[in-house]
Amino acid sequence: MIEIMVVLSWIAILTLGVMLYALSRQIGVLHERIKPVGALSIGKALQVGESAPFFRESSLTGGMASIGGESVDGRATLVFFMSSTCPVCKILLPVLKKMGEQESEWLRLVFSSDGHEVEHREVIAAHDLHDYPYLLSAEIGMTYQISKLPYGVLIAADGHVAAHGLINNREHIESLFEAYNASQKEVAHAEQVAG
Amino acid sequence: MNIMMDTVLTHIISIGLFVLLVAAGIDKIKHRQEFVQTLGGYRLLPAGLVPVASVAIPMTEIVLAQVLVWLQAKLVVVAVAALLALYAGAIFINIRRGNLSLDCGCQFGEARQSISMALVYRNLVLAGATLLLLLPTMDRQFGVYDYGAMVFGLLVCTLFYVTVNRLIANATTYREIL
Repeated sequence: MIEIMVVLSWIAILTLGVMLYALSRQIGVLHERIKPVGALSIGKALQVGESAPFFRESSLTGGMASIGGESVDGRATLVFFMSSTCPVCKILLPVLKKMGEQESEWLRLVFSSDGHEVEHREVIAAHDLHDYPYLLSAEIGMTYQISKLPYGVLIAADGHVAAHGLINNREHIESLFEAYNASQKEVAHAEQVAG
Repeated sequence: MNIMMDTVLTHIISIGLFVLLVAAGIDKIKHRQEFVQTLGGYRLLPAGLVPVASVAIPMTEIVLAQVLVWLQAKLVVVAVAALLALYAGAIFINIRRGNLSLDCGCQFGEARQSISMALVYRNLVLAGATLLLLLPTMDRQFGVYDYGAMVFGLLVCTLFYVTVNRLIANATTYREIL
């Protein structure tokens, strides 16, 4: 008799265990769902449509590079704020490079970070970023009020912030591009109406 | 007083560890690309050693699991406990460095999960459970009931382990939403 009771309690405990696991899984799924779909903009200082703070710094990959201000070659600039210790940033680097090449007609890619120069030289060598400006300055991140990484700021050719947000995957980068295209269409439309 | 372990308990612990280590090892080999990234992120090994270690670590896990179940040598028990404690140490060092956004690489390839103290405790508990295998065991006949208890124990341990993992992951994703 006791054996039957024990076996029954085993079954009860296992059922409870399964239910507890299912419950905890549902909470995890819920967290995933709550996560913002597009790139999440957090910075309060950075407003779409305002002119982006101008910086001109020497790049780790050689030469000087600027962000903000009117673009010399008429291309928009995507500033990618990253850190040498963030794994998501590293996973995104090849994606960014690929997209940068595909969209190179209208887009210029700039990397921005802070910290020890040696670590960043390692990142540049490991991910072959020699062709892109790579700025090392805590001031840029502070002025743009970047609080989470990796963060993307897309600056239109006229020096205005077109879109910005937290980037965790390819879709987030695309959402920045979409926001940029929408804003460009608006500008064109406004000019048409005015003209 | 001499503390003796029942054979049912030692079987639950050793088979449980076997499943855990083999699953972890296979998972690391399957997602090698991610594992290399994770290992690099821990910043404990020189960059040149990372590719070698990314193969050596899962192989060690799988080999240790086999030896643990089939030989049950004291030395292997200590080695498994040391391996688990080593992971706890690696996570702890990175928490102390403030490297909190580091992907722990412990979620069976599902999603990224940041490191937290809970993971350190989890690994220490696992290492402690492993060390229980060092205690002397009572030898006795195995009945049908014992096999039932063993299967039950294994199922409960597995459920607890996956649930605890899930809850730790939930706690970190919750932190990230806020």
